Amino acid sequence: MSLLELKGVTKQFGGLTAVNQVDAAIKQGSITAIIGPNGAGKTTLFNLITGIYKPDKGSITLAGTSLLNRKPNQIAGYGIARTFQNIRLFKEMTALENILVGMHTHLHSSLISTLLRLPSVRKEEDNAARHAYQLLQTVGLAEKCNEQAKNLPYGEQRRLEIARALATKPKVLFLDEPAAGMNPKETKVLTELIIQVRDDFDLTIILIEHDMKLVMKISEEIIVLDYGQKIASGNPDEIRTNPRVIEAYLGKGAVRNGL
Amino acid sequence: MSNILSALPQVLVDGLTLGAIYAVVALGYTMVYGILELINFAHGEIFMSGAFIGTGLLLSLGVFGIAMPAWITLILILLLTALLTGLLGIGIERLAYRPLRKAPRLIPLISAIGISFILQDLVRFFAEFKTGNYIVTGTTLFEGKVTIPFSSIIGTFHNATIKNNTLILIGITIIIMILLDIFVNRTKWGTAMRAVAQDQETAALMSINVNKVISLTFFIGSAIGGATGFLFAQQYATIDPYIGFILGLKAFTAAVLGGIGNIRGAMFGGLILGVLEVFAAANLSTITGGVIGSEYKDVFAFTILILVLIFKPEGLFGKSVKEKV
Amino acid sequence: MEMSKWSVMMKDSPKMQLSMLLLFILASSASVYFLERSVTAFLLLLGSLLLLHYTSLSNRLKWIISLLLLVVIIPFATSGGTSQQDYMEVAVQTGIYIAMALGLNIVVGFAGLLDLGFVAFFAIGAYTYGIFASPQAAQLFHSDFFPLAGTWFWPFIIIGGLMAALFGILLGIPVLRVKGDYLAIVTLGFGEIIRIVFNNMDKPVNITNGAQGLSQINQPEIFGFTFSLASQFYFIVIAILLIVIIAVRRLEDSKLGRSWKAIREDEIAAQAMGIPLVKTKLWAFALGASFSGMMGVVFSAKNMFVDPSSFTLIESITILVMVILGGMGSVPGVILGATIISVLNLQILTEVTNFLTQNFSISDTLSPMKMQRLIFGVVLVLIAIYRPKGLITAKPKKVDPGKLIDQPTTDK
Repeated sequence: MSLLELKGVTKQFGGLTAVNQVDAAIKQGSITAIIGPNGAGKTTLFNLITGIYKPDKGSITLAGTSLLNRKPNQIAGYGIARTFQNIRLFKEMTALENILVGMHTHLHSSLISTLLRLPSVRKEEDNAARHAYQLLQTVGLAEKCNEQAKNLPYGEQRRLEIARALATKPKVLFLDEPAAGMNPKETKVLTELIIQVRDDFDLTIILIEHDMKLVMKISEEIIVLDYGQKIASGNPDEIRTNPRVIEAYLGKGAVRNGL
Repeated sequence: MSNILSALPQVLVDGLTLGAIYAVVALGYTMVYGILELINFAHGEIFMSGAFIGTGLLLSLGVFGIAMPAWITLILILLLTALLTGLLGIGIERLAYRPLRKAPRLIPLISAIGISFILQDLVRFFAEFKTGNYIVTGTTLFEGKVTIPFSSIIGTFHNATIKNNTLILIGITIIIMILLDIFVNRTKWGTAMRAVAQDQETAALMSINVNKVISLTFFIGSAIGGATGFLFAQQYATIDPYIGFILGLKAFTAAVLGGIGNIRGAMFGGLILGVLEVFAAANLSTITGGVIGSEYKDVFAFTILILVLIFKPEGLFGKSVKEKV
Repeated sequence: MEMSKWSVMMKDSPKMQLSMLLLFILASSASVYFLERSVTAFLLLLGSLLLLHYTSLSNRLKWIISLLLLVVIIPFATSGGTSQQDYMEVAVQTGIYIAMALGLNIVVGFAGLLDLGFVAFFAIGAYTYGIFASPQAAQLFHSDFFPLAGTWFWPFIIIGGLMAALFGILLGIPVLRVKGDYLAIVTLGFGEIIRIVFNNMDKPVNITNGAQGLSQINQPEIFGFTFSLASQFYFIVIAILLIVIIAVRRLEDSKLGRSWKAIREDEIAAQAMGIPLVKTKLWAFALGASFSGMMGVVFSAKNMFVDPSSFTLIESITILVMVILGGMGSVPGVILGATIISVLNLQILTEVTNFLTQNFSISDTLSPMKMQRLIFGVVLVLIAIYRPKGLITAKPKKVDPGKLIDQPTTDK
């Protein structure tokens, strides 16, 4: 059974239909890539699922629960986490603090007990810090735990964003162009990291990516969007040979490696 | 109820007068916000400085015993005041906003509040230094008033009186608004302004000098705000260094009401707010049976601001904007 | 060469620092004690707290020394001459402002919400106690139970705080839906509304006594002892202030504190982490307001009088200047900022004015006391341009990685 289901999801901005009647069924534990030319509606689709925009039509369900009319923070609470195309870390906070913010919904100290600094609060905070440190280890940033996020190099910021998303203990992880701006070596490390966290954290991963090498290597399922519509879906081999996909890319002159 | 109705003509006249002032000051807020997304807190103080500069010029003409026909004096002072406050606007932008264009959003706002306080105190200082009192009463260029016989149109209406000054104020503010509208929509520099407001980077790529356009925006907004300050001083006779603050807040309300960044919206917003406020001041007491009186008119204006911001933040004539994620 | 060697020695040796600090405290407190009303000596004595901040002594020792300074040394040193009450007046006012600035710091510094009407919450606290502890309440409720006796002051510190918090939430619910910069304008409007309302609530039912204000407010009383002098209020203020500082410190690095900072840095990302925006901002408003409310109660009890003129926009801006000057989000910074601005307002400007008028017979117009707005304006602009993080920059909390490793790991 699929974990996340979209049916007829549509979003219009003024006269522009950014996402048009998109259906999708994402299997538990899979890695799915959403590809398509710039402006095809990929990020808008992410924003619709994570509650930043509200769809005009259609339904979105996670394990049978509807995500419509829920605020982004509620959706995060249901087990959907994400990273952002243009990196949205908490810049002035340290790497460790960024992760601790991600653990928000799993910390339960009340205001009064915090003000009194009860032993239970201290214990919870200690455990949280330890867990956060482990997550930093997972993405290879342990020794940067006291660095402010704004001082990290670009590639590390991307990895920190992934660790922060993992801290919310998600069921589904959305990655918006995780490899953007990375060199081939960094991309390779990232590819391994994505597969590793999927296995270690029992995740379902959906990613938007332009790097076709990465997409073809790790995804089990690919969804192709063009002008807001789903024009194809299937495994990497099916997509590679799909004439509509080739047209969508080549027709716009956007030739990409791997295609 | 009949009281409210019969006083309506005077309420409308007074409301439109106040509204015209709000409208022109609102233009300054809306233009700067449109281009920099900055609430130029100091704009109310530029208006106030205009009131003092204009009144100062007028009083010193008297001191030097220079006599001219009133209308020449008026035009001369308006132009000089506009020029000086326009330059003041450019100076403020250079000094306090330009270095902060890349700073976090809170920082330019703080700088703007700072400038606003500096201007208040400098004006107070000069006013006290020159006249011994920070409250200044100017002379009036145009005495006399006109009565409009509304009662002969509809019997229940009372007549409304308009000071000649008021007619001039309304006339000049209308001219300013029409000229600005033409400038923004029909001229090369107006187009450049709109382009910068839309997208600074792209405008820069189209070889528009963004800094120049921003300076120009500040110049125009401040010049018309300052000139209106002088008209205000003529209309209400007494000015102090703190008039710009509340008035600025209300003009900002007008700008928000009309949809911030929208020039025509600001004009309508100003007029609507002016009429509503005067109506409230005249009738709150009657409507609420004396529970709430005219001293709550400012509360009334702020309530409008808050309601608009909560329920229709894009204003009456604006388009809603989504943050890019 | 000599100097640098010396400074290295100072840096490395906490013992050396401690002895220098104690020497400094001794010298400055002795001057305060023996000199007749010396602002300089008093400032130096206060400055020892700042020096203490920069030493590398342990946190515990810093707490002990600052408590000693505040509770024993400063009250004693100022008791030497005839100007004890003047010094203590300044200290009380400064303490009140520090608490308010720390409250505003939660809103502006931690949560990044520019509130320009903050003094409204101070007013709420002041009026809460003022109405019930003055003849006003007797008139209002036609009851002999009022005015409440001075012993009621103590629970009213809490009640005043709660009332302010309640108003913070009531104002916050509509206001916090407003985006970004607009919030500044809306809070400014609300601040004015509160003042206008207090100014006019003498009719139709007389609640606040309008522009005349409330007088004959009862002074605090405990076990038959009445607090009436500044030197007595000093201890009340210090006690509340300590609670406030401890509370802020604990909040800063808690789940709630991190949520505030996350919202300040990026609302959308914060939401994506499961943080509810409005609720989290409301907590900032409520907690920040409560500090102000508590001090409002103290203010009205000390002056035995409140009227709307104490709660104008310039007061809100004064508190904002303290936060900005000291460093948004930095607790020691805000304490420093509040102290500088209060002492500047209350002592230095007065002193300079007296000096100038006595020696140069300058006109009243030029008097520095009147130039508050100019000074605040210049401070705001200069800080915004040259030092947007304030005098003492907020430092993120550092952790010791060694303590975070559960077991020997195979990282890397």
